[in-house]
Amino acid sequence: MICLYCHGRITVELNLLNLFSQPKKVCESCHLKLTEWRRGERCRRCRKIKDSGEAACRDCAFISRRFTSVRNIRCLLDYNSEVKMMMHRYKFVRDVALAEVMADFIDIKAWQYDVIVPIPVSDHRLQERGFNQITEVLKRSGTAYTELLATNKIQLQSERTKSERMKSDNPFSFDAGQKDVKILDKRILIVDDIYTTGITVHHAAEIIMQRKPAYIDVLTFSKA
Amino acid sequence: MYFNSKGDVVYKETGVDIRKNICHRCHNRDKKLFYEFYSELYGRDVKYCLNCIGLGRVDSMSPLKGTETRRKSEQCDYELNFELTDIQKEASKKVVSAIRNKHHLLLHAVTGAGKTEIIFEGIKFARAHGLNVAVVSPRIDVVKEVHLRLGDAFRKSRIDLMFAGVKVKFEHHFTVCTVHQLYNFHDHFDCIIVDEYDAFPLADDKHLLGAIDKAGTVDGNIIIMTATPTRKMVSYVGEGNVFQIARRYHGHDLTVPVIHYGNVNKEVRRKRLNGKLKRLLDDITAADRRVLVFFPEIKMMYDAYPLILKYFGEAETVYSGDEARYSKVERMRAGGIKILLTTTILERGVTFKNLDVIVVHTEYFPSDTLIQICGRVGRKPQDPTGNVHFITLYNTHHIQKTVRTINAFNKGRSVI
Ligand SMILES: [Zn+2]
Ligand SMILES: [Zn+2]
Ligand SMILES: [Zn+2]
Repeated sequence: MICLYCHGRITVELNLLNLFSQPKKVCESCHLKLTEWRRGERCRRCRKIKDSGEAACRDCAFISRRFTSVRNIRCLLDYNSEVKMMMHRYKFVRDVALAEVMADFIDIKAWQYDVIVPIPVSDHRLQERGFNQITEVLKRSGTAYTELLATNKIQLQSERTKSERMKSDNPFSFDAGQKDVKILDKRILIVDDIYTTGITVHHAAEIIMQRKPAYIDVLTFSKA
Repeated sequence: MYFNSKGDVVYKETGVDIRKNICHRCHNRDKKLFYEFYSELYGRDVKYCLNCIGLGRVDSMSPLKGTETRRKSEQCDYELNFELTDIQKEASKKVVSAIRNKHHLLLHAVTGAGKTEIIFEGIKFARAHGLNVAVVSPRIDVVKEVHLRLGDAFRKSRIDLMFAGVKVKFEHHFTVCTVHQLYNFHDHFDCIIVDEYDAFPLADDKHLLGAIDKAGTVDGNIIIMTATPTRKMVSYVGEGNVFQIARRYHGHDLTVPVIHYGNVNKEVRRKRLNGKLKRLLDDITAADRRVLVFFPEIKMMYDAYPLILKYFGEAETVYSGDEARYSKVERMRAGGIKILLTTTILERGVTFKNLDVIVVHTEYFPSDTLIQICGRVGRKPQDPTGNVHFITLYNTHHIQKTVRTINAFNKGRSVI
């Protein structure tokens, strides 16, 4: 077994406790580095590290003014320097193996939901990258999902300023091929890779809300 | 040739052979170091190489492209603001002759600073003859340092620099990079100089050793600089091609460090100067000597600086990118500065009279750095023995190795 993050060898001592558990995808030391949370006072809702003197989270305040907020937001990993590097390698160097690493960390609680919806990736982006960074992780974690939404957004999130993102119109729509999926009174989970200001997932939620689900939760791989 | 996505030559139809498990860039054949997945976009399985993923993905879907190697001679003058020692001059001649006669060479010398000047003349010779030259190291910090020093000396040359995410690329006639980056070169460099050959993880990484071999031309030469040569290295370059910068040229023993325990940083954060450090500085300044205080990181140094100023009135700080580093060093040499806090090892050409050294939080430092630091003191014939103090949180393997190496050196059992 090699660690899919550092490519070093993983040595696992077999004992009764781990005999039946899944083999790990990363070594102990990479696991520690990737799961570390940076210090600082965080927003209880979106886990953003608050600026000094920031009483209530400005991002969440903006979201609640502009959108109907989702019920819960969960983030799996902090966007620490190691996670940042991993995300870069995954999305831009196209090291798809890292989807297995993230699938190892992910805790979907799939039984709590009726429909699990990944944030869509534009065709342009898909051609360029060759894979959908969210569904690759869901697949490897054995999660059934529904590609309910479509997008026509071309620009990269990271290429736009915050205010540009705030102003932009909703890039999502229902995917024409998924018309028959029942949403009414269903429990929905939206999955995205990185939660920055929350605009993206709330745009997605805004579309889904039109069909009156019971509630919508959000899960992201990392909190920027 | 050197591989790059904009290259005009298709070297292989696909970079990875999906059935045979071969990466044509890094020559990885280890099944564990490939990753295969079903691609919805291509509608088929894709395999790529994990071993060289750091340089961008090479996979079974895309061609491996490159640019043909070219050669161009260049008048490559350099500036050096001090004179080489006799032994450095001799080593420098060996380097030139190894390049001229196309044979390998092992320079057995103290690691890091000071060795760089030895290769200047060889680089000048190689470039004047149109040879492509690479100076490489397994360690990123060494690559950065060497690039800085070569850039300072060869002001007019365009030196490529590549490590991790950093890429400054020209025509790859004169390149400084990590050994890892050599995967992108095939039969390209006529002379490869490897600094800190013994540094982890090169010594036991057969892929990287292969990379050096493949990146070099068939009749090119490899110059290895190391503090701890192995039998394998010696047999690689050939018995007759080893040059030692041996003890007799220093002429005296190296100072064995005295070890003290303490947590300087913790006290600094409480706005107190560690008692041990304060006493050492007191003694040194009272004896009208000068002292270099090494810190493992800039922040720690800047935190401690005001406290040292408060007690001792005057002190200076210097770090590797410090534009004023040379003028500060000059001031210290002239006697204007008694206490110099530093996060960087100053050039070998820099020697001081009456110099002592204190290393703070020694537990952070690797042994090769510590050995170099110990080599800083007592370089002047008038003052052959300075004192070296390590203040550390706990004893480390690297501290022990440093003491062992220096003791062995002084007994004449080894050279550093
Ligand atoms: Zn690892
Ligand atoms: Zn918030
Ligand atoms: Zn490879």
